Amino acid sequence: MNIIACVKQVPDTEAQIKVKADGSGIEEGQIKWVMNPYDEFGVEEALKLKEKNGGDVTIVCVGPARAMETIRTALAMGADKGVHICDPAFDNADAFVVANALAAAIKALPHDIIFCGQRAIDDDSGQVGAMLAEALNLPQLTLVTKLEFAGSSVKVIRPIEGAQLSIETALPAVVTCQKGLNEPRYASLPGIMKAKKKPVDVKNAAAIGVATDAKARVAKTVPPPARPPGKIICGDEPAQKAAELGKLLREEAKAI
Amino acid sequence: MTTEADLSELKAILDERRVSAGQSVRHLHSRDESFHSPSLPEVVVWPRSTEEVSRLVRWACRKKVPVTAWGAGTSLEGNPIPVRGGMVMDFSEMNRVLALLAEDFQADVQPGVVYKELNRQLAREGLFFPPDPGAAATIGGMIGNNASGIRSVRYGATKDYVMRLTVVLPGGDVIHAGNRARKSSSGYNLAALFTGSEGTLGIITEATLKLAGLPVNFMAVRATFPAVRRATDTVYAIMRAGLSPVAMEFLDANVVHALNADRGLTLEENPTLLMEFSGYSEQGLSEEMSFVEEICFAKGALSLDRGIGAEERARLWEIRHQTYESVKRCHIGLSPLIMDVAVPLSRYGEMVEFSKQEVRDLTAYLFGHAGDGNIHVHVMDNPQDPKRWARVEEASRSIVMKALEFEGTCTGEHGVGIGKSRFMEREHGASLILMKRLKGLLDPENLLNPGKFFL
Ligand SMILES: Cc1cc2nc3c(=O)[nH]c(=O)nc-3n(C[C@H](O)[C@H](O)[C@H](O)COP(=O)(O)OP(=O)(O)OC[C@H]3O[C@@H](n4cnc5c(N)ncnc54)[C@H](O)[C@@H]3O)c2cc1C
Ligand SMILES: Cc1cc2nc3c(=O)[nH]c(=O)nc-3n(C[C@H](O)[C@H](O)[C@H](O)COP(=O)(O)OP(=O)(O)OC[C@H]3O[C@@H](n4cnc5c(N)ncnc54)[C@H](O)[C@@H]3O)c2cc1C
Repeated sequence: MNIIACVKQVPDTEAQIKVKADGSGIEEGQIKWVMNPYDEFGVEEALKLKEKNGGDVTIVCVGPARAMETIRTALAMGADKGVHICDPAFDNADAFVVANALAAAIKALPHDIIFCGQRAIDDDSGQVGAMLAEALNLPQLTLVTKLEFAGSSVKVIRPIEGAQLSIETALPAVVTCQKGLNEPRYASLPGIMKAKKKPVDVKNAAAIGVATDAKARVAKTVPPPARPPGKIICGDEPAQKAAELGKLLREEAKAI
Repeated sequence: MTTEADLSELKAILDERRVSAGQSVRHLHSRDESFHSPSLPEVVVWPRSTEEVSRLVRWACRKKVPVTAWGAGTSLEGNPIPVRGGMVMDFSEMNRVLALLAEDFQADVQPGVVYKELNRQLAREGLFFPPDPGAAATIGGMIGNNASGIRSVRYGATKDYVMRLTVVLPGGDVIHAGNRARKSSSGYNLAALFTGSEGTLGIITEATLKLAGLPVNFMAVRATFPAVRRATDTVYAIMRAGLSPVAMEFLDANVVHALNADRGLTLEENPTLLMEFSGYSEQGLSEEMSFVEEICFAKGALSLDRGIGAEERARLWEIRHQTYESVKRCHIGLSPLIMDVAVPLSRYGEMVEFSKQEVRDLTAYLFGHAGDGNIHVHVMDNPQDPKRWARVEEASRSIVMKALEFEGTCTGEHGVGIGKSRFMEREHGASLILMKRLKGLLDPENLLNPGKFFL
C-alpha cells in the first residue's frame, strides 16, 4: 500500500507570536517550529495503516529549508521517505499554490491514500486538503475522526452537529484528519537516529513544474485588538458580590 | 500584618497586577489537596524572575513577613499552606522552559512549569522527565516535596533528576548549587539539600533537570489475586527475578470496586497488580511477558490481562490515573487522610496486611507504588467530627509506627508538611536536631514556610 502524509511546519502553540513592525508578517527569530498538530494525526494514521497492511509511508511537505526538521520528525515516528518542495518562490504561497504543488509532487508518486490535517494552526485556512483532492481529481473525506480500511475502499466517520456521518469511498482518496482520530506516537531516540539516514527528495518549483503565483495576497498582518481590562467586583460579602456579578452579566455583558 | 503601605511597596517591586490581597485570591492559596485546615495568607505575589524573587524575599525578611512558595497546591500533607499567614509566592507566571539541551539530556526550567507540559514539549525530542506524581504538579512543588510517582520503581524520584538549582536564600542572596556534569564529587551536595526541603530553606527560581529517553515500546499487565498477600508476594517475586518493571502498582479489591462504580467498568474486584515494562523490540517484550505471566500464575493469580504497544498500555493503565478522583467521588463531603509509608521490599506484604487490619473499621482504600515498597492508605472521613477523626489519626499513627519499626519512612513521597511533623523525632532521632540547626543557620528568623517539619 502506498500511503502519503502531507505535513506543514507551524509555530509551536506555546510560541509568543509578534507581528513585524511593518505588518508584513510575523517575527520568526524566537519561534520554535513544530509539525502542525492535525498533520500528526495524519502521520499516525498512515503509520497504523502501514503496520496493519504493509506498504510504505511517504511524507510530502511544502516549506522553507527549516521545514526539513518536521519531515525528519515524521520519519523518526516511522515514515519511510520524504519529498520536500522547497523554493523561495513559495514564500508567499497561498492554499491554492500549496495544494497544486502537493498535487504535482504526489502525481509523480504511487498513491493509494493521502492524509492531510483538517487545517494548519498557523493561518487556520483549512483549504489545502480539499483543494488537493480537486487538483488530483480524487474523492475527499474531510474532518475524519475514525477510519476503517477495507482493501480497495475506506469507511470513515465525520462528526456533524449532533450526529455522525459515515462515508465510504473507493481508493485512492484524500483524507483530512481531525482531533480524536488517534493518539499520535512520539519519535523515540532510536527512531530519531534512524531518521537521519532515510531518503528525502528536495525539489524546487521548476522540478515539479507548478506555477507559484498566489491567488490571495496578504495585505497586512495585525495583532488581535487588545482586550479591554476586566472588571473586578470588590467587597467582602460573597453573596453581595455574586448578586452584583449576576447583574453585570445580565445588564452589561448581556450573557444571561 | 501587611498594611496598605506594605502593599504599595510590594507593588513597586512587581507591578499592580501581580500583588493581591483580595479575598478570593487569598482563599485559593489557603489550602492544598489535603484535609488540613486552611490558613489565609495576607498577600499573594506572582514574581517573574529570580531578581524579583530576591527583592521580594529581601523585603519580607526586612519586614519579618513569612514567605511560602506555591506551585500548584496539589500537596497532600499541607506542605504549601501558609500556617503563619504572611506572603504566598505563586510561581504560575514563572512557567517557561528556558532551554532544552537535547544532546545533553537536560532542560533548564522555571519552577512554575507543570511537569506534564514539560513532557509534552520533550516528547518531540524523544525525551522525558520521569517523575510523575499524576496531579498537575509543578517542577518547583515536585522539587519542594521530592515527589515521585508510578515510574519511580525504574527511574527514581525527583532528587535523581535535579542537577542544578538557582536558589534565593532568606535575606535575598542568590546561589547556584550543582552543575551540568552528569556526575560530580565536588563538595557538599547542596542541590540535594534543597530538594525535599518544602520551601523551608530557600526559594527555587530555576532548575536544570536531567532527562531520560522515551522507551520505544511497552508491555502492560493487569493481574488479579485471591488475597492481598498473594499480590504483594508477586511484587517481591518479580523484583527478585531481576525483571525491571517501569511501574508496579498495587490496588486493593475495594479500590477496583470504587473504579467500577465511578466509571462504569466491570473489572474483577480482587486485589490487583498493574505492571508496565518497556523495551526496544516487541519480541523481547513478549519473552518478558511470558516470564511475568509464569510468576503471576505460580503465585496464584486468578486472572491476567496483558498487551504490547502504546494502545494496550493506555487501555490497561487508564484506571490507575483516575484512582484518587474516583475514590473522592464515591464519598462526596468527606475528606481524605492519605498515609504514605514506605518500607523495604521484603516487608511490603506484612506492611500492607497490617495496614488493612488497622483500618478495618474505617472507610479506607489501599493502593500504592508497590515496586517501591510504598503504600497509600487512603481514609475518607470527616475532620470536623473529633471522635471519628481521632480514630483516623490513631490508625495513621500505628501504621507509621509499624513502618518505622521496619526501618522505613513516614512519607515515601508526599513530604512532611503539617501532617508528618509529629513523626519526625521518632524517625530521625538526633538527626532531627541537626536538621533544626541547618534550618536555623539558613533561616534564623524562621520566615520560610514556617510551621512545617518541626513541632
Ligand atoms: C491526585 C493526586 C495524586 C498525587 N499523586 C502523587 C504521587 O504519585 N507521587 C507524589 O510524589 N505526589 C503525589 N501527589 C502530591 C503532589 O502532587 C506532589 O507532592 C507535588 O509535588 C506537589 O506539587 P505542586 O506544584 O502542587 O506543589 P505545592 O503543593 O504548591 O508545593 C509543594 C511544596 O513545595 C514548595 N514549593 C513550591 N514551589 C517552590 C519553589 N519554587 N521553591 C521552593 N519551594 C517550593 C511549597 O512551599 C510546598 O512546601 C498527588 C496529589 C494529588 C492531588
Ligand atoms: C588505579 C586507581 C583507579 C581509580 N579509579 C577510580 C574510578 O574509576 N572512579 C573513582 O571514583 N575513583 C577512582 N579512584 C580513586 C579512589 O579509588 C576512590 O576515590 C575511592 O573512593 C577511595 O577509596 P579509599 O577506600 O581508598 O579511601 P581513602 O583514599 O582512604 O579515603 C577517601 C576519603 O574518604 C574519607 N574516608 C575514608 N573512610 C571514611 C570513613 N569511614 N568515614 C568518613 N570518611 C572516610 C577519607 O578521609 C578521605 O577523605 C581510583 C584510584 C586508583 C588508585
